[in-house]
Amino acid sequence: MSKRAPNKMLKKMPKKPNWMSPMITVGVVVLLVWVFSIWPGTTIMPAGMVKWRLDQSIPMTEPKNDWQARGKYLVTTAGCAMCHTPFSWIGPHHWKALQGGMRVRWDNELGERLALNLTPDPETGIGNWTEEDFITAMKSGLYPDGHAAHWQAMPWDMHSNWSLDDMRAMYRYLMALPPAKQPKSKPIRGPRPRSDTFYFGT
Amino acid sequence: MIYTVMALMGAGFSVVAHAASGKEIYAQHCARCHGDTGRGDGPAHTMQRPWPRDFTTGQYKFRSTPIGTLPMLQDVERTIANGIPRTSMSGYRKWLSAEEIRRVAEYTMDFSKASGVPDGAGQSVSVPGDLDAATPTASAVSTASPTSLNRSALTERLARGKKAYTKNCAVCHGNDGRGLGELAGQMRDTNGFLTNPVDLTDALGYGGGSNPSDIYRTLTTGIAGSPMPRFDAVLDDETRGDVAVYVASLQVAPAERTLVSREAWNKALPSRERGEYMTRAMSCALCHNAYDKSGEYYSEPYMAGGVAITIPGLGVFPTRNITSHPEDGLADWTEAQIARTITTGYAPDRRIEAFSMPWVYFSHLTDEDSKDIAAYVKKLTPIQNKVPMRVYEPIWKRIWGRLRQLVGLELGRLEYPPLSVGDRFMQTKGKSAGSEQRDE
Repeated sequence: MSKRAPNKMLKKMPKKPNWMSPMITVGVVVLLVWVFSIWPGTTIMPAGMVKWRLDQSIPMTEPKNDWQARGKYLVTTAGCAMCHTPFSWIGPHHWKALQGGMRVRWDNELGERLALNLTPDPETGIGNWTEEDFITAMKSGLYPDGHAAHWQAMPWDMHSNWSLDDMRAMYRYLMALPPAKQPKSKPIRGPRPRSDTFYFGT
Repeated sequence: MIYTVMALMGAGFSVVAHAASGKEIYAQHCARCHGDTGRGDGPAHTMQRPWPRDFTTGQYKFRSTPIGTLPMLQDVERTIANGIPRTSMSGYRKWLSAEEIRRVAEYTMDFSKASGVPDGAGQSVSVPGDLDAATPTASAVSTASPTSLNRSALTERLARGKKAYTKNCAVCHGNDGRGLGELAGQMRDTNGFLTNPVDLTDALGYGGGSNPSDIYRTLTTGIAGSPMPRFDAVLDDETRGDVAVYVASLQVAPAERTLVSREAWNKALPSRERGEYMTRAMSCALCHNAYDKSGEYYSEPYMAGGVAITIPGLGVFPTRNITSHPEDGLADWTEAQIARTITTGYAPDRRIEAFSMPWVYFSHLTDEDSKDIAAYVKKLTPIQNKVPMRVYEPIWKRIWGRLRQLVGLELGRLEYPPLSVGDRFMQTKGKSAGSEQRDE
């Protein structure tokens, strides 16, 4: 075993700031924040944080009159945003509040349904619906285009208990939202589970 | 069987192109609420208030024939065509041709043949012809030309109608017609469900039609199965006509309507009934009521919980039995505790998982509403149904699953009540993985 020669090259190298260690630290923090953000359960998080996070799925539009105020109250408290706001592993997409996008999928002939865009976009939303169309859709699950919603995807059987005026209030509030085009949904390929889908197993 | 039912009831349909038979139309449009056999027990009927008609009893709400007889065919046709907008019964004029409506009305009435209810043909109410001509709306009265001969007669008629209305109708429908009279909140229909008087200022609210002639018919024959009595013995023909014209004059166009004030609502309805309205409409029973394999909710054990909400990677969260059963329910909780649980997620015994019960949305409820809901929940009929405790995955599993998602190995799956969980007494053990249930 010979004595190792001292490495002179190393000693002569100028000192560079070590980027790796802070990057690793930041990475670990980001990872931890992300890991703990929403999925490991909300009961280990402060209630205020959970509320802040989920409140992001509620549109911020300010109501302009009594009807819209009532509508906003009902749309918020009835939890429409739960299905009608796009949702993925990062939680609700608050920048797309009530623009639809939650997928509901059954493993039978019913297949996949996409939660409707509730903003008044004429093409992908409810912009062309009249007040009566909206009431019919909410209470009977019959959409103006002749489509019939399943009562478990869109629980119109329960919503039929709303009074007509409350329905109108909701409609008037939704119509005051900024219209947004919903991107065309791609069909789910294969049986692979996705995080933006509600699954109804059979 | 499930597939058949699902495909039949739930699959999207487009407007029928060929002339379908009554049976086909019924199966396509009506059976999901009224049931294949017309008993009003279709898979979507349970949570509706009022329940869909049971045709086999031969009891129809809107008829031109006396109570206790079958309606005329055109009565059924009218209801199918116009619908009852304040319920799940939509107006099928938009979807079906007159011929198809006639066929399905005939098919519907076939269910009632075995009921033994006598035919009402020949006893149909004759509606005075001048009713609809009597420009009924309030705005029309005020804008009618002063020289019009009809105007003073109409004003007189309205005054007479108002007098009779105040005496006979206002006790339920209220002096302003908004359905908030003294007896509001106290009336039940034949199924025992709370039924509130109709808001007469809303043309869409009338089940039997909103024209004076329709109102006259409803006044004369009453509404079977509901607290609305017939007035043919109480009021003579002319007075009923006056009341019909007056009631029609109460209607306000949707754009000009005002909301019922909270004070008026509070005054008219007791807290429990207000809470019942909110609880039903806000779909609490979507999760707190169990359902069978076809997706039909159980109507009898109401709000007894037991639906297992599975969130893979997180755990299984059976919904609570929120009736006031001493052992299995919430009998020990005070109303304040229930309200606090709904709005803050802090139950007396544990914190609520926000993904199983979205208390964040309910946290926006006003204090009044949350108290009303608590008052209603507190008085639910106690039902024995032991619901198992929630099960969380161990924390390392939850984080590990999250990390696997990061590299795309396994995407998160949020599974809402699997339809296979028909048994309310489901055991949570071994059910946390959704794939096992999907394979059944």
